[in-house]
Amino acid sequence: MMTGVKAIHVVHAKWCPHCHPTTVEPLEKLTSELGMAFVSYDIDKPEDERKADELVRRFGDASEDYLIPQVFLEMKDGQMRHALTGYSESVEFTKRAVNNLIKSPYFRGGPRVK
Amino acid sequence: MSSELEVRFAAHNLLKTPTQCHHCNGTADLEYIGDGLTGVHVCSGRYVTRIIAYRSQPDSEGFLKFVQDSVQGSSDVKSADIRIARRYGWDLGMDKETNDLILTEAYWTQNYRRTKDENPKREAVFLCSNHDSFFVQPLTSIETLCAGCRNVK
Repeated sequence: MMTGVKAIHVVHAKWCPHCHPTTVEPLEKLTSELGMAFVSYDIDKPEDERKADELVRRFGDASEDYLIPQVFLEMKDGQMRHALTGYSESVEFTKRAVNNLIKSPYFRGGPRVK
Repeated sequence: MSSELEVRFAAHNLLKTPTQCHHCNGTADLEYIGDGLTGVHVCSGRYVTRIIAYRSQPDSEGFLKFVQDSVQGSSDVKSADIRIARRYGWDLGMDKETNDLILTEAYWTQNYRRTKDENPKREAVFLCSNHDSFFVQPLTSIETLCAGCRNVK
């Protein structure tokens, strides 16, 4: 399988049902299968929180109290792309989006960038 | 950038789901108000759990103003209470190119992390069951009509 993605970065919290087991575990499994790096930012760990805030501020859906999880794709060309933010509507919606991300062009034959 | 038609399609067909009411723990259904690009999660008692704006581009400030006007002083809505999320074609399961942004959702959730006040008489915002009008009344009140609609009953 070809892909332009080098690593998946996920901003999450242990207590968040949109994050665990909905987002982190399936994406960690995907990176393991594809031989990519998985980078975790647990916002309850001070050393991760600062990096998570910076990642979200620069590339994500930033607000003072931002939504989690937020998923970013680090591309082989060095770009960082926002890929997914959790759905306040329901955990099921977040689960659907994670499944759609896994099935998306990012992970089958590389991204189709216009 | 997506068209208003596309935003409306996604909002009405791909993002419509009930949620749990923060007032009665029952079901809060999603209703669309105004031009159809604003959704409100309301229970049968018309308590507003969440307001969502669907836009092609983010407009946090416009939405903050809208929410502040809607709650009519019943709660102190600040910019920190507005949270945003971009939705893409593939994210929503649409057959779209990877980078296509379809819409931005802006959320406001009533009383989210704002109060642990258990006072049953504290005021909260409700949506009139007769038309797209927010009104404020004590949390435990059972009125489902705004004052204007009550007067013409």
